[in-house]
Amino acid sequence: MWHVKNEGAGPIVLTSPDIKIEANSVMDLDKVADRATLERSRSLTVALNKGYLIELEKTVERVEEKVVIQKQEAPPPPPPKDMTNDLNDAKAEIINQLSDLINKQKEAPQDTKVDAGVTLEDLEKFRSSLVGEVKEIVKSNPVVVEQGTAEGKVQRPQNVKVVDKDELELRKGFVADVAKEFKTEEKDFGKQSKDKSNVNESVDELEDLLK
Amino acid sequence: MAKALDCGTANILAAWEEKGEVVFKQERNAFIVMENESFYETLLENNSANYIKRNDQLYVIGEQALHMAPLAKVKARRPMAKGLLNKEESEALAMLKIISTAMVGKPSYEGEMLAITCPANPLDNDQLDNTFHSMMIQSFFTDQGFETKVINEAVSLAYHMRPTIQSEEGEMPVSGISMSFGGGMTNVVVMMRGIPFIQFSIAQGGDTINKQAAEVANISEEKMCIFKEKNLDLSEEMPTDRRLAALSVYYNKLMETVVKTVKQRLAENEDEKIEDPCDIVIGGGTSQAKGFLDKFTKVIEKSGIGVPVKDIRQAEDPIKAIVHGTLVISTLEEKRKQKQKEKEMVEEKKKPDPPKPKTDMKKVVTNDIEDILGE
Repeated sequence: MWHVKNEGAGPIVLTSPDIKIEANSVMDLDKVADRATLERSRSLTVALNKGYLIELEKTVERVEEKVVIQKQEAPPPPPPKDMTNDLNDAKAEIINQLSDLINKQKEAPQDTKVDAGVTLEDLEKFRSSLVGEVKEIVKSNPVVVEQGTAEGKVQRPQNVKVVDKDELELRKGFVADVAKEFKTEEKDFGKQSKDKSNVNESVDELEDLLK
Repeated sequence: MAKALDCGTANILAAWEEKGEVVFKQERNAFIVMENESFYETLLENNSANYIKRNDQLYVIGEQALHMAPLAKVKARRPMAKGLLNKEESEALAMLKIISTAMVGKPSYEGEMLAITCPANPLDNDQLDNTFHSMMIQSFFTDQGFETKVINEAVSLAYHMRPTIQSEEGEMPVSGISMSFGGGMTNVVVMMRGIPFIQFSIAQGGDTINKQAAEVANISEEKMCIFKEKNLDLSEEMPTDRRLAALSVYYNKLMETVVKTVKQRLAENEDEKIEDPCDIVIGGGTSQAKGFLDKFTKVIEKSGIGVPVKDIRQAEDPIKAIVHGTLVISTLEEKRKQKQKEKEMVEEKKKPDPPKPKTDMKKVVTNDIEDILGE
């Protein structure tokens, strides 16, 4: 499978298709080439020629591939993992801080409302600033146009990651596949003998001795 | 419950506990292939031989393969050589899987612990690497639902024999030198409180002795192997039989090589010198020859081994000792797993329930944010 990799320190934005490739990340070639004809766009060709992106073939594993086709009635797709964390953090912060402040203000006795140090105007300001922050987070995440979605709807990045597998993990996977190729036999081999067991005593003693 | 597998070049042994007893299963790690003729099949049935039909041929497995090889005028084939998968045997993987999985059986429950012996990489042959062998044999069993752990066979022997080092503070448990003389390799570990701190192997063992002695005596390796196991007595000073004389010479050579290598490795390891008297324990199929312990003790007394020796002990059953030690380690590991699980369950119970929303205000703010995100 072919991929492009951004080996640079900063993100690279291709104008056609409108896509952002983060620093040190890899993306399937067919996601950055023109979808209708699979031809390379001018911006991709330039990026490759200039060496901003490199083209490579590697063994990869797709994880958590979820391409969500958005329908009018369907609920919105779950946000991607990384972005979800950011949003959840921001959301939790807003919810906790706002609820705390509002509750504090509400629960405070009438005569100490001023001493609580929070006015409703303060709260409104705080809320606006946090709402602004959340909007920034949403904006700062790149968007992609999903192939096949109605009218090319803009979605948040699809949850597709191309990851390099650790060499040992790759080897383990290969070995496991090879091992499965060989059959087992239901036959009962081996000469059987039995001895009185002292395994549990040995285990208990060893646990004490090697504490 | 836990299980153990000692996957040796010459013998495969499996062990597990059952109703207060340890069940051992032992089989020769060898096979021969015969034509699928009804005459042969009857012969195999009459001899209660273990055989399977595969690729329209008869595969005789285990001890009988060794006995039938000369009759069938074929050479016994070995799935393993020098402690690892036999690179020169095209059916090594298929046969090792068939033999080993049939010996161990299915796990009693998903995730049952199975400890499997594996040799250390040899010092005298850098072409041999245990990685592929170790991964492959584990895959045979993880595929069946076992959780596997690989153990150096000399470590297993140490857990069975429990050598000690006599230090000023008292006896240091599971400490000393453990040597497993196998068919394909000799494995050595120096243990400190149950942990190996030097481990290596030498790609020489019983098979090397058989091969060299068979050449001198001009007989097949299979015949030499059977003859050795029946007749060898290393306490005989000057055997007159050519086969026994050859075996005695090559046993002596192996012992000297092992002692010399241990001495060198201990000398190289200047950081952790053993200055207190320590036990040396020996086991493995090749050490079960009569008179082995005395001869080996003499070799050590003659050349020294680089540490003060407290005692040299041999396992009562040198073959079963390895798989028994492996079973002890497997059971220890299974217990550790269970304790860990219990601990996690207790911690999970201790966790406070998530706080309930105090007021509707939280809901209001949550909805507010959901609206923003939905934009």
